[in-house]
Amino acid sequence: MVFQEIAGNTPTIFDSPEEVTNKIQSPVLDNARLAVLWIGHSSCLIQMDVKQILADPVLTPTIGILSKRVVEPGIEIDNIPKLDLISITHSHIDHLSIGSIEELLPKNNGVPLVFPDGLESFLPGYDFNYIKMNNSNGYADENPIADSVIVNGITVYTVTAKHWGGRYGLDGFLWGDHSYTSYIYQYNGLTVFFGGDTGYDSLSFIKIGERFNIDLALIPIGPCEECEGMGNKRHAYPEGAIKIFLDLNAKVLMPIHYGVFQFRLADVNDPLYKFEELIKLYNIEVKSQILKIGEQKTFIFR
Amino acid sequence: MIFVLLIFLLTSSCVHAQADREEPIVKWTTWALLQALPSPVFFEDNGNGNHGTEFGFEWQVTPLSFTFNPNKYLNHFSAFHIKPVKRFSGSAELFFTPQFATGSFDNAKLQRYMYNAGARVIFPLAQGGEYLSFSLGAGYYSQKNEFNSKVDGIMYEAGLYSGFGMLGLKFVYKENAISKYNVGIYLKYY
Repeated sequence: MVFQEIAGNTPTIFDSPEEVTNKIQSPVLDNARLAVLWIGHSSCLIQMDVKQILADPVLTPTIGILSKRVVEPGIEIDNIPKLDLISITHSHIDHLSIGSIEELLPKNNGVPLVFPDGLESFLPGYDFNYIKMNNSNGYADENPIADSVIVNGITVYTVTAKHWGGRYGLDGFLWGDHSYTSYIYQYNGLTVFFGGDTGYDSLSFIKIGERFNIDLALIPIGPCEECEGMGNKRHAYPEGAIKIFLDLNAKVLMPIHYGVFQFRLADVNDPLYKFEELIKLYNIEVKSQILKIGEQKTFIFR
Repeated sequence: MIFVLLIFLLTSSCVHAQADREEPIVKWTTWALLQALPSPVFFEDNGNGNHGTEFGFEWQVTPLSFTFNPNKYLNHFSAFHIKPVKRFSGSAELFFTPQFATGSFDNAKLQRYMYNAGARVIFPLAQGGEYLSFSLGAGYYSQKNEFNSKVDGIMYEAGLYSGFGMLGLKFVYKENAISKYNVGIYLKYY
Protein backbone atom coordinates (compact mmCIF):
# COMPACT_ATOMS: atom_id res chain seq x y z
CA MET A 1 0.00 0.00 0.00
CA VAL A 2 2.82 2.39 0.86
CA PHE A 3 4.50 1.69 -2.47
CA GLN A 4 1.22 2.29 -4.20
CA GLU A 5 1.14 5.65 -2.45
CA ILE A 6 4.64 6.47 -3.66
CA ALA A 7 3.80 5.50 -7.21
CA GLY A 8 0.60 7.49 -7.07
CA ASN A 9 2.38 10.60 -5.88
CA THR A 10 5.46 10.40 -8.06
CA PRO A 11 4.20 12.49 -10.98
CA THR A 12 3.10 15.35 -8.79
CA ILE A 13 6.41 15.71 -6.97
CA PHE A 14 8.05 17.09 -10.10
CA ASP A 15 5.07 18.83 -11.67
CA SER A 16 3.91 22.36 -11.00
CA PRO A 17 0.33 22.57 -9.78
CA GLU A 18 -2.26 23.47 -12.37
CA GLU A 19 -2.86 27.19 -12.45
CA VAL A 20 -6.25 28.60 -11.45
CA THR A 21 -7.04 31.40 -13.85
CA ASN A 22 -9.08 34.48 -13.03
CA LYS A 23 -8.86 34.07 -9.29
CA ILE A 24 -11.34 36.16 -7.39
CA GLN A 25 -9.69 39.15 -5.79
CA SER A 26 -12.62 40.55 -3.80
CA PRO A 27 -14.58 37.64 -2.39
CA VAL A 28 -16.83 39.68 -0.07
CA LEU A 29 -20.18 39.92 -1.84
CA ASP A 30 -22.60 42.71 -0.98
CA ASN A 31 -25.55 40.95 -2.58
CA ALA A 32 -25.06 37.53 -1.00
CA ARG A 33 -26.61 36.06 2.12
CA LEU A 34 -24.94 32.69 1.64
CA ALA A 35 -21.97 32.12 -0.66
CA VAL A 36 -19.00 29.78 -0.88
CA LEU A 37 -15.67 30.16 -2.60
CA TRP A 38 -14.08 26.74 -3.07
CA ILE A 39 -10.33 27.03 -2.45
CA GLY A 40 -9.87 23.34 -3.17
CA HIS A 41 -10.04 20.01 -1.32
CA SER A 42 -11.94 20.85 1.88
CA SER A 43 -10.86 24.48 2.09
CA CYS A 44 -13.84 26.80 1.72
CA LEU A 45 -14.44 30.48 2.29
CA ILE A 46 -18.03 30.70 3.45
CA GLN A 47 -19.94 33.98 3.57
CA MET A 48 -23.03 34.06 5.81
CA ASP A 49 -24.45 37.56 5.46
CA VAL A 50 -21.64 39.81 6.71
CA LYS A 51 -19.65 37.01 8.32
CA GLN A 52 -16.67 35.34 6.71
CA ILE A 53 -15.76 31.81 7.76
CA LEU A 54 -12.69 29.95 6.55
CA ALA A 55 -12.99 26.20 6.92
CA ASP A 56 -10.01 23.82 6.91
CA PRO A 57 -7.60 26.32 5.31
CA VAL A 58 -4.87 24.58 3.32
CA LEU A 59 -3.10 27.09 1.09
CA THR A 60 0.44 25.74 0.96
CA PRO A 61 2.06 24.18 -2.14
CA THR A 62 2.59 20.92 -0.27
CA ILE A 63 1.17 19.04 2.68
CA GLY A 64 3.23 16.77 4.89
CA ILE A 65 6.32 18.06 3.06
CA LEU A 66 6.14 15.53 0.23
CA SER A 67 2.59 15.62 -1.08
CA LYS A 68 2.21 18.39 -3.65
CA ARG A 69 -0.97 20.03 -4.80
CA VAL A 70 -2.23 19.04 -8.23
CA VAL A 71 -4.06 22.37 -8.53
CA GLU A 72 -3.02 25.60 -6.86
CA PRO A 73 -5.27 27.21 -4.20
CA GLY A 74 -8.38 28.91 -5.57
CA ILE A 75 -7.56 32.25 -3.98
CA GLU A 76 -4.43 34.22 -3.20
CA ILE A 77 -3.88 34.36 0.52
CA ASP A 78 -3.63 38.16 0.40
CA ASN A 79 -7.15 38.30 -1.05
CA ILE A 80 -8.73 36.37 1.80
CA PRO A 81 -10.69 39.00 3.74
CA LYS A 82 -10.47 39.61 7.45
CA LEU A 83 -12.19 36.59 8.92
CA ASP A 84 -14.80 36.23 11.62
CA LEU A 85 -14.10 32.56 12.22
CA ILE A 86 -11.58 29.92 11.26
CA SER A 87 -12.59 26.32 11.83
CA ILE A 88 -10.55 23.16 11.58
CA THR A 89 -12.26 19.78 11.49
CA HIS A 90 -9.32 17.56 12.35
CA SER A 91 -5.59 17.23 12.67
CA HIS A 92 -4.69 15.51 9.39
CA ILE A 93 -2.26 17.32 7.14
CA ASP A 94 -4.83 17.97 4.40
CA HIS A 95 -7.07 19.84 6.87
CA LEU A 96 -4.75 21.39 9.45
CA SER A 97 -1.94 23.25 7.68
CA ILE A 98 0.31 25.02 10.15
CA GLY A 99 1.99 26.92 7.32
CA SER A 100 -1.40 28.18 6.16
CA ILE A 101 -2.67 29.38 9.50
CA GLU A 102 0.69 31.01 10.10
CA GLU A 103 0.21 32.98 6.86
CA LEU A 104 -3.33 33.95 7.87
CA LEU A 105 -2.17 35.31 11.21
CA PRO A 106 -1.04 38.85 10.30
CA LYS A 107 -4.49 39.82 9.03
CA ASN A 108 -6.40 37.75 11.58
CA ASN A 109 -4.69 38.31 14.89
CA GLY A 110 -7.10 37.36 17.68
CA VAL A 111 -9.69 35.83 15.35
CA PRO A 112 -11.56 32.84 16.85
CA LEU A 113 -10.20 29.52 15.65
CA VAL A 114 -12.37 26.56 16.66
CA PHE A 115 -11.21 22.98 16.71
CA PRO A 116 -12.25 19.67 18.29
CA ASP A 117 -10.88 18.35 21.55
CA GLY A 118 -7.43 16.84 21.08
CA LEU A 119 -6.36 19.03 18.20
CA GLU A 120 -4.61 21.39 20.60
CA SER A 121 -1.80 18.82 20.64
CA PHE A 122 -0.97 19.75 17.04
CA LEU A 123 -1.28 23.55 17.15
CA PRO A 124 1.50 26.04 17.83
CA GLY A 125 0.65 28.92 20.13
CA TYR A 126 -0.23 31.51 17.51
CA ASP A 127 -2.19 34.62 18.42
CA PHE A 128 -5.61 33.36 17.38
CA ASN A 129 -8.41 33.06 19.87
CA TYR A 130 -8.21 29.28 20.13
CA ILE A 131 -11.49 27.66 21.16
CA LYS A 132 -11.49 23.97 21.89
CA MET A 133 -14.85 22.27 21.43
CA ASN A 134 -16.06 19.01 22.88
CA ASN A 135 -16.51 16.17 20.42
CA SER A 136 -17.60 13.44 22.84
CA ASN A 137 -14.25 11.68 22.50
CA GLY A 138 -14.82 11.17 18.81
CA TYR A 139 -18.61 10.82 19.10
CA ALA A 140 -18.23 7.72 21.21
CA ASP A 141 -21.58 8.22 22.92
CA GLU A 142 -23.62 8.23 19.67
CA ASN A 143 -24.89 11.72 20.49
CA PRO A 144 -24.49 13.53 17.15
CA ILE A 145 -24.34 17.03 18.65
CA ALA A 146 -21.49 17.40 21.09
CA ASP A 147 -21.00 21.08 21.81
CA SER A 148 -21.87 24.62 20.78
CA VAL A 149 -20.32 28.04 21.12
CA ILE A 150 -21.19 31.52 19.90
CA VAL A 151 -18.24 33.40 18.42
CA ASN A 152 -18.54 36.76 16.71
CA GLY A 153 -22.29 36.17 16.53
CA ILE A 154 -21.88 32.85 14.71
CA THR A 155 -23.18 29.78 16.52
CA VAL A 156 -20.90 26.83 15.94
CA TYR A 157 -21.89 23.26 16.76
CA THR A 158 -19.61 20.25 16.73
CA VAL A 159 -21.53 17.39 15.15
CA THR A 160 -20.75 13.83 14.16
CA ALA A 161 -17.84 12.92 11.96
CA LYS A 162 -16.84 9.31 11.39
CA HIS A 163 -13.12 9.60 10.97
CA TRP A 164 -9.89 9.30 12.92
CA GLY A 165 -7.36 11.69 14.40
CA GLY A 166 -3.63 12.02 14.87
CA ARG A 167 -1.13 13.65 12.56
CA TYR A 168 2.14 11.79 12.70
CA GLY A 169 1.10 8.27 11.76
CA LEU A 170 0.89 6.03 14.78
CA ASP A 171 -0.83 8.63 16.97
CA GLY A 172 -3.91 8.24 14.81
CA PHE A 173 -3.54 4.68 13.61
CA LEU A 174 -2.63 3.02 16.90
CA TRP A 175 -3.01 5.47 19.74
CA GLY A 176 -6.62 6.34 19.03
CA ASP A 177 -6.37 10.13 18.92
CA HIS A 178 -9.92 11.43 18.47
CA SER A 179 -9.45 15.03 17.32
CA TYR A 180 -12.07 15.15 14.56
CA THR A 181 -15.51 16.60 14.03
CA SER A 182 -17.97 18.06 11.56
CA TYR A 183 -19.50 21.49 12.12
CA ILE A 184 -22.79 23.31 11.86
CA TYR A 185 -22.52 27.09 11.49
CA GLN A 186 -25.59 29.23 12.15
CA TYR A 187 -25.90 32.94 11.58
CA ASN A 188 -28.90 35.18 11.10
CA GLY A 189 -31.26 32.35 10.17
CA LEU A 190 -28.76 30.61 7.89
CA THR A 191 -27.44 27.12 8.59
CA VAL A 192 -24.46 25.40 6.97
CA PHE A 193 -23.17 21.87 7.55
CA PHE A 194 -19.44 21.38 6.98
CA GLY A 195 -18.41 17.71 6.83
CA GLY A 196 -14.67 18.18 6.35
CA ASP A 197 -13.83 14.51 6.18
CA THR A 198 -16.26 11.83 7.33
CA GLY A 199 -17.67 8.43 6.63
CA TYR A 200 -21.35 7.62 6.42
CA ASP A 201 -23.38 6.73 9.48
CA SER A 202 -26.95 5.57 9.25
CA LEU A 203 -28.24 7.30 12.40
CA SER A 204 -26.23 10.40 13.20
CA PHE A 205 -26.92 12.45 10.10
CA ILE A 206 -30.65 11.76 10.32
CA LYS A 207 -30.62 13.12 13.87
CA ILE A 208 -28.64 16.19 12.76
CA GLY A 209 -31.15 16.73 9.96
CA GLU A 210 -34.01 16.54 12.45
CA ARG A 211 -32.39 19.13 14.67
CA PHE A 212 -31.25 21.67 12.03
CA ASN A 213 -32.84 23.18 8.95
CA ILE A 214 -29.72 23.10 6.78
CA ASP A 215 -29.46 25.48 3.85
CA LEU A 216 -26.19 24.15 2.52
CA ALA A 217 -24.25 20.94 3.18
CA LEU A 218 -20.58 20.77 2.26
CA ILE A 219 -19.87 17.05 2.19
CA PRO A 220 -16.69 15.13 1.34
CA ILE A 221 -16.95 12.70 -1.58
CA GLY A 222 -13.47 11.20 -1.47
CA PRO A 223 -10.85 10.04 -1.52
CA CYS A 224 -11.51 6.92 -3.54
CA GLU A 225 -10.28 5.03 -6.58
CA GLU A 226 -13.17 3.00 -7.89
CA CYS A 227 -15.60 5.04 -5.77
CA GLU A 228 -18.23 2.31 -5.81
CA GLY A 229 -20.53 2.03 -2.82
CA MET A 230 -21.03 4.09 0.30
CA GLY A 231 -17.39 4.20 1.29
CA ASN A 232 -15.77 2.91 4.43
CA LYS A 233 -16.29 3.84 8.05
CA ARG A 234 -13.81 6.74 7.79
CA HIS A 235 -14.54 8.16 4.34
CA ALA A 236 -17.77 8.62 2.47
CA TYR A 237 -17.58 7.88 -1.24
CA PRO A 238 -19.88 9.84 -3.55
CA GLU A 239 -22.85 7.60 -2.81
CA GLY A 240 -22.20 7.88 0.93
CA ALA A 241 -22.02 11.65 0.58
CA ILE A 242 -25.37 11.70 -1.19
CA LYS A 243 -26.85 9.55 1.57
CA ILE A 244 -25.48 11.97 4.17
CA PHE A 245 -27.10 14.82 2.25
CA LEU A 246 -30.43 13.02 2.07
CA ASP A 247 -30.26 12.12 5.77
CA LEU A 248 -29.46 15.74 6.65
CA ASN A 249 -32.46 16.83 4.59
CA ALA A 250 -30.40 19.82 3.48
CA LYS A 251 -31.47 22.12 0.68
CA VAL A 252 -28.24 22.16 -1.32
CA LEU A 253 -25.28 19.79 -1.56
CA MET A 254 -21.80 20.94 -2.49
CA PRO A 255 -19.16 18.20 -2.81
CA ILE A 256 -15.71 18.79 -1.34
CA HIS A 257 -12.55 16.82 -0.47
CA TYR A 258 -11.34 15.96 -3.96
CA GLY A 259 -9.48 17.53 -6.87
CA VAL A 260 -6.27 18.69 -5.18
CA PHE A 261 -4.22 15.92 -3.57
CA GLN A 262 -3.26 12.68 -5.23
CA PHE A 263 -4.81 9.54 -3.79
CA ARG A 264 -3.03 6.34 -4.78
CA LEU A 265 -3.15 6.01 -8.57
CA ALA A 266 -6.55 7.62 -8.97
CA ASP A 267 -7.37 10.71 -10.95
CA VAL A 268 -7.97 13.44 -8.38
CA ASN A 269 -11.39 13.97 -9.94
CA ASP A 270 -12.51 10.32 -9.89
CA PRO A 271 -14.86 11.05 -6.95
CA LEU A 272 -16.41 13.88 -8.94
CA TYR A 273 -17.03 11.74 -12.03
CA LYS A 274 -18.86 9.18 -9.89
CA PHE A 275 -20.73 11.93 -8.08
CA GLU A 276 -21.95 13.37 -11.39
CA GLU A 277 -23.31 9.95 -12.37
CA LEU A 278 -25.02 9.41 -9.06
CA ILE A 279 -26.78 12.75 -8.73
CA LYS A 280 -28.65 11.88 -11.92
CA LEU A 281 -29.52 8.45 -10.55
CA TYR A 282 -30.74 9.95 -7.26
CA ASN A 283 -32.46 12.74 -9.13
CA ILE A 284 -30.78 15.49 -7.09
CA GLU A 285 -29.05 17.33 -9.91
CA VAL A 286 -30.87 20.56 -9.17
CA LYS A 287 -29.91 20.38 -5.50
CA SER A 288 -26.23 19.72 -6.21
CA GLN A 289 -23.77 22.52 -6.85
CA ILE A 290 -20.38 21.51 -8.18
CA LEU A 291 -17.86 24.33 -8.05
CA LYS A 292 -14.55 24.61 -9.83
CA ILE A 293 -11.52 25.43 -7.71
CA GLY A 294 -11.48 29.19 -7.29
CA GLU A 295 -15.14 29.54 -8.21
CA GLN A 296 -17.50 31.42 -5.92
CA LYS A 297 -21.20 30.60 -5.84
CA THR A 298 -23.98 32.54 -4.20
CA PHE A 299 -26.63 30.16 -2.86
CA ILE A 300 -28.95 32.73 -1.30
CA PHE A 301 -29.12 36.35 -2.45
CA ARG A 302 -30.08 39.29 -0.28
CA MET B 1 13.37 3.22 7.26
CA ILE B 2 10.58 3.32 9.81
CA PHE B 3 10.61 7.10 9.69
CA VAL B 4 10.43 7.09 5.91
CA LEU B 5 7.46 4.74 6.12
CA LEU B 6 5.83 7.01 8.67
CA ILE B 7 6.15 10.00 6.39
CA PHE B 8 4.45 8.16 3.57
CA LEU B 9 1.72 7.07 5.92
CA LEU B 10 1.32 10.70 6.91
CA THR B 11 0.78 11.77 3.35
CA SER B 12 -1.78 9.04 2.90
CA SER B 13 -5.45 9.54 3.40
CA CYS B 14 -6.20 5.96 2.60
CA VAL B 15 -5.48 4.06 5.77
CA HIS B 16 -8.66 2.73 7.21
CA ALA B 17 -7.50 0.38 9.94
CA GLN B 18 -7.21 2.76 12.85
CA ALA B 19 -7.83 2.40 16.54
CA ASP B 20 -11.27 3.68 17.46
CA ARG B 21 -10.44 4.68 21.00
CA GLU B 22 -7.35 5.61 22.90
CA GLU B 23 -5.59 2.57 24.28
CA PRO B 24 -3.00 3.72 26.85
CA ILE B 25 -1.22 0.37 26.99
CA VAL B 26 -0.82 0.26 23.22
CA LYS B 27 0.18 3.90 23.15
CA TRP B 28 2.87 3.74 25.80
CA THR B 29 4.21 0.36 24.69
CA THR B 30 4.66 1.48 21.10
CA TRP B 31 6.09 4.80 22.22
CA ALA B 32 8.65 3.04 24.43
CA LEU B 33 9.57 0.66 21.61
CA LEU B 34 10.07 3.58 19.25
CA GLN B 35 12.37 5.27 21.76
CA ALA B 36 14.51 2.16 21.66
CA LEU B 37 15.14 2.68 17.95
CA PRO B 38 18.67 4.10 17.64
CA SER B 39 19.84 6.97 15.49
CA PRO B 40 22.84 6.20 13.26
CA VAL B 41 25.97 8.24 13.87
CA PHE B 42 29.56 8.45 12.58
CA PHE B 43 32.35 9.10 15.08
CA GLU B 44 35.71 10.50 14.19
CA ASP B 45 38.53 8.09 15.11
CA ASN B 46 41.85 9.93 15.22
CA GLY B 47 45.08 9.02 16.96
CA ASN B 48 48.79 8.42 16.40
CA GLY B 49 48.64 10.36 13.17
CA ASN B 50 45.92 8.11 11.74
CA HIS B 51 42.45 9.23 10.77
CA GLY B 52 39.30 7.21 10.44
CA THR B 53 35.62 6.98 11.25
CA GLU B 54 33.55 4.55 13.25
CA PHE B 55 29.89 3.87 12.70
CA GLY B 56 27.61 3.57 15.68
CA PHE B 57 24.27 4.34 17.20
CA GLU B 58 22.87 6.77 19.72
CA TRP B 59 19.55 7.15 21.49
CA GLN B 60 17.69 10.44 21.84
CA VAL B 61 16.43 10.84 25.39
CA THR B 62 14.74 14.09 26.37
CA PRO B 63 14.18 14.20 30.12
CA LEU B 64 12.69 17.69 30.05
CA SER B 65 11.43 20.13 27.45
CA PHE B 66 10.21 23.69 27.79
CA THR B 67 8.07 25.07 24.97
CA PHE B 68 8.42 28.81 24.48
CA ASN B 69 4.95 29.50 23.13
CA PRO B 70 2.46 26.67 23.58
CA ASN B 71 -1.21 27.28 22.88
CA LYS B 72 -3.33 27.97 25.95
CA TYR B 73 -4.40 24.33 26.27
CA LEU B 74 -0.88 22.93 26.52
CA ASN B 75 1.68 23.08 29.29
CA HIS B 76 5.08 24.66 28.79
CA PHE B 77 6.81 21.60 30.21
CA SER B 78 7.05 18.05 28.93
CA ALA B 79 9.10 15.12 30.15
CA PHE B 80 10.40 12.31 27.92
CA HIS B 81 7.24 12.14 25.75
CA ILE B 82 7.35 15.38 23.75
CA LYS B 83 4.55 16.36 21.41
CA PRO B 84 6.31 17.26 18.14
CA VAL B 85 4.62 20.67 17.84
CA LYS B 86 5.87 21.62 21.30
CA ARG B 87 9.40 20.86 20.16
CA PHE B 88 9.67 22.17 16.59
CA SER B 89 7.68 25.36 17.17
CA GLY B 90 10.39 26.64 19.52
CA SER B 91 11.66 25.05 22.70
CA ALA B 92 14.57 24.36 24.98
CA GLU B 93 15.29 20.86 26.14
CA LEU B 94 17.66 18.79 28.20
CA PHE B 95 19.11 15.85 26.35
CA PHE B 96 20.86 12.67 27.28
CA THR B 97 22.43 10.71 24.41
CA PRO B 98 23.94 7.30 25.14
CA GLN B 99 26.17 6.21 22.27
CA PHE B 100 27.67 2.97 21.04
CA ALA B 101 30.23 2.41 18.32
CA THR B 102 29.84 -0.82 16.38
CA GLY B 103 33.60 -1.14 15.82
CA SER B 104 36.60 -0.37 18.01
CA PHE B 105 38.37 2.99 17.98
CA ASP B 106 41.67 1.63 16.72
CA ASN B 107 43.26 5.04 16.38
CA ALA B 108 41.78 6.97 19.30
CA LYS B 109 41.98 3.96 21.64
CA LEU B 110 38.61 4.76 23.16
CA GLN B 111 36.04 2.37 24.53
CA ARG B 112 32.88 1.83 22.50
CA TYR B 113 30.34 3.13 25.02
CA MET B 114 30.00 6.85 25.74
CA TYR B 115 27.39 9.55 26.26
CA ASN B 116 26.60 13.21 25.80
CA ALA B 117 24.30 15.24 28.04
CA GLY B 118 23.32 18.86 27.90
CA ALA B 119 20.77 21.36 26.69
CA ARG B 120 19.69 22.57 23.28
CA VAL B 121 17.40 25.25 21.94
CA ILE B 122 15.20 24.61 18.89
CA PHE B 123 13.98 27.33 16.55
CA PRO B 124 11.36 27.05 13.79
CA LEU B 125 12.43 27.95 10.26
CA ALA B 126 9.59 26.96 7.91
CA GLN B 127 5.88 26.23 8.39
CA GLY B 128 6.07 26.83 12.10
CA GLY B 129 9.04 24.47 12.32
CA GLU B 130 7.08 21.52 10.99
CA TYR B 131 8.91 21.54 7.67
CA LEU B 132 12.24 22.87 8.94
CA SER B 133 13.77 23.79 12.28
CA PHE B 134 17.25 24.00 13.70
CA SER B 135 18.90 23.63 17.06
CA LEU B 136 21.99 24.74 18.91
CA GLY B 137 23.18 23.03 22.05
CA ALA B 138 26.01 22.46 24.45
CA GLY B 139 26.79 20.01 27.19
CA TYR B 140 29.16 17.45 28.57
CA TYR B 141 30.65 14.40 26.90
CA SER B 142 32.09 11.41 28.64
CA GLN B 143 34.17 8.58 27.20
CA LYS B 144 36.79 6.16 28.51
CA ASN B 145 40.06 5.21 26.93
CA GLU B 146 41.59 1.75 26.73
CA PHE B 147 43.10 2.20 30.21
CA ASN B 148 39.64 2.89 31.62
CA SER B 149 40.51 6.52 32.29
CA LYS B 150 37.81 9.09 31.73
CA VAL B 151 38.03 11.36 28.68
CA ASP B 152 35.49 14.11 29.10
CA GLY B 153 34.80 17.77 28.45
CA ILE B 154 32.50 20.27 26.83
CA MET B 155 30.62 19.46 23.63
CA TYR B 156 28.70 21.68 21.24
CA GLU B 157 26.11 20.60 18.74
CA ALA B 158 23.96 21.92 15.92
CA GLY B 159 21.00 20.20 14.30
CA LEU B 160 18.71 20.68 11.34
CA TYR B 161 15.31 18.98 11.40
CA SER B 162 12.53 18.25 8.99
CA GLY B 163 9.73 15.67 8.99
CA PHE B 164 7.74 17.31 11.80
CA GLY B 165 10.92 17.71 13.85
CA MET B 166 11.33 13.97 14.10
CA LEU B 167 14.04 13.52 11.47
CA GLY B 168 17.23 15.54 11.57
CA LEU B 169 20.91 15.87 10.88
CA LYS B 170 23.07 16.51 13.92
CA PHE B 171 26.65 17.69 14.13
CA VAL B 172 28.69 17.45 17.37
CA TYR B 173 32.02 19.01 18.27
CA LYS B 174 33.89 17.85 21.38
CA GLU B 175 36.26 20.35 22.88
CA ASN B 176 39.71 19.06 23.86
CA ALA B 177 39.06 15.59 22.52
CA ILE B 178 41.41 13.91 20.04
CA SER B 179 38.42 12.71 18.06
CA LYS B 180 36.33 15.84 18.04
CA TYR B 181 33.55 15.35 15.51
CA ASN B 182 30.38 13.26 15.26
CA VAL B 183 27.77 13.48 12.52
CA GLY B 184 24.52 11.61 12.84
CA ILE B 185 20.90 11.30 11.92
CA TYR B 186 18.41 12.36 14.59
CA LEU B 187 15.37 10.10 14.89
CA LYS B 188 12.76 10.50 17.58
CA TYR B 189 9.02 9.85 17.47
CA TYR B 190 7.31 11.95 20.16
